[in-house]
Amino acid sequence: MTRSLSVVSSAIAVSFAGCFYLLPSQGGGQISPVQTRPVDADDVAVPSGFRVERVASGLSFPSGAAFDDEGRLYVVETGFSYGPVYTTPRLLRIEADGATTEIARGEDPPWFGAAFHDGGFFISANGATGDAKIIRVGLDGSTRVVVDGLPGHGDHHTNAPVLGPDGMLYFGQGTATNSGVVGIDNYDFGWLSKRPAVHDIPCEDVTLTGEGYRTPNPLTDDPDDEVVTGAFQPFGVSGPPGQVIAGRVPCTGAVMRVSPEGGAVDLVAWGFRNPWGLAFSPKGKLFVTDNGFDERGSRPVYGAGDLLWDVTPGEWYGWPDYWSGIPLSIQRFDTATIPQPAQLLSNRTEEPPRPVARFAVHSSSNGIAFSTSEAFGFVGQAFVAQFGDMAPGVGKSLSPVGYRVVRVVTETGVITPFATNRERRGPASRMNGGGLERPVDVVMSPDGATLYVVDFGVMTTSDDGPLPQKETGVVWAIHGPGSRVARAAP
Amino acid sequence: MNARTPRYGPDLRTHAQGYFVKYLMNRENIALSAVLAAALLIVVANGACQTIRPANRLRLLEPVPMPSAEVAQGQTLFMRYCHTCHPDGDSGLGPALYSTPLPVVRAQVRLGVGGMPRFSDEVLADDEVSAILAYLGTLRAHVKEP
Repeated sequence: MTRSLSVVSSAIAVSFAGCFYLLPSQGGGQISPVQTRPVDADDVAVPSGFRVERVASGLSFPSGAAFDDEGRLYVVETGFSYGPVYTTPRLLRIEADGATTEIARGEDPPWFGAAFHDGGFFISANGATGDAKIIRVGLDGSTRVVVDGLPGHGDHHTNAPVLGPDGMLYFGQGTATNSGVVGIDNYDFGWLSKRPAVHDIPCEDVTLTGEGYRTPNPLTDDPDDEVVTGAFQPFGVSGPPGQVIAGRVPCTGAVMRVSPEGGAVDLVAWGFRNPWGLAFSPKGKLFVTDNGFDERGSRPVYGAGDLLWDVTPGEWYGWPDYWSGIPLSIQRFDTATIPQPAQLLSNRTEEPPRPVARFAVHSSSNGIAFSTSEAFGFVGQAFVAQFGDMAPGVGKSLSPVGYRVVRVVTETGVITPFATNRERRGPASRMNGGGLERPVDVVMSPDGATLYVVDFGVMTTSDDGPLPQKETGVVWAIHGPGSRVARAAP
Repeated sequence: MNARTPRYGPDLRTHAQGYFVKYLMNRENIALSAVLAAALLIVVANGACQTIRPANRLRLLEPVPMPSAEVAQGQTLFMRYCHTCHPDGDSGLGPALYSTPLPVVRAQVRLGVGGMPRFSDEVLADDEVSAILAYLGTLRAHVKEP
């Protein structure tokens, strides 16, 4: 009875071609442009025992925070947003009343950071020209270059450095392209016309299958001009099957490390796509959040969510031919309108590892912090800030995805919402509310009792691309049950 | 075929569905498209693609109780295979799963539908699908409570 019901039901369901094809995209940013942002902690829902407070507001494109050794809070204003929009990158101290003190500013956005060590803040300064670098900013605003020559100029960047238990600075380097091949989507991102030679760099030698992708050439005036582009090569360059691309370090799609004093860059692991958030667990293991493929460009990939990896040094994690340990060249990653992605590398014979957790497709799971104290609870669990979808540009989403902080049990991969807007899903701007817009980073307070959430601010999306709004960034504090601030509240 | 043949395999059914959609979108087939569109409206109105009320949504902030080992296993499997498209069982890349009859869910898992790939018994054994359904049942009860 149940079986024939299944057959009949499934026949009906199959014949209607499913919800995905027939419903419109309704991502969180798909609303009319918004200029202002009200702030109201009551609009943010958290589990019982926790309390949300606004710490600072009116920030422009904040993307990271850190504490100095006196327990004072600092925020990095990126100086950049996808759009793209460039402003001035800054390191700010947040004072007790929420006012900001500018510690340093730069001319080379985007800045991602920061890691405090030995009296200074370590920040990745990408720059619009030249190579990306990691800098040390002193509390007096002085700057020293730690390492230069990093390949941070494609879709993704040199991400925020983190101090490891071994005293080295660990940092993620995102890939230049979505899935290995430079295409028209990179022109739309804004960098192909300025830096037409940029391409992804493998960390070890790779042998290519020779797949080439034919696209129009937006770099010439001739509308009929077309080029063929291969993997790990500049736009318009391709080669035969069996071509070997030499690996080198620094490379893209990798986690690397360098001494805070400078010197050689070591490879930790590669095969990531955009290893945005790095954090060491209380047991000293390195965890990385990795943004998954988008449905765009010459080699679009469907249905690839963001991932959480437990990183083993020396391992390869699969980009551009695998997602979550699964090869892309199978049916699952295509749709009626995009083809099955072809294999790009022919010399990788081992299967990459599986991730610890798999976040929602297009959630943009970014900053990560571990709970270390019973004053907050959930000790040993990871908290991850989800920036939220950028549909429709990255692909369709039936509803807003992300715009919250989630909690992950790393042993099981179980993901549970932790802080989300009370009224409904999506950013506050979508519901005329005062809660979360786009959480992008999380940092645990030195006493382990409060989780600070860096909220990038308003970014709506349109057919012409993202529309970010300056001065709408916020820093929230989520006080745990054991926080002295929580107990002192009336 | 070698030992590394992907276990998902090529799926003619999903490709056929793709061609079906393209067929419907062809101008000559507009009458058939209109009839099927009306029928789909009925399905959608029945909640096939809808989500739950916001008041219950916040129950997701509290941990889902685990009444049995099967439900716990189902949760782990759901997180691994389903959550990326149905986060928290809610809509995302895929539709929400709070009201679809469980036998229909089993059929959709095995056959795939539209944008959803199929999961063969090489990927998910029958008892693993049952565990996922058991978890879905517990999850639904959890978010229905006031």
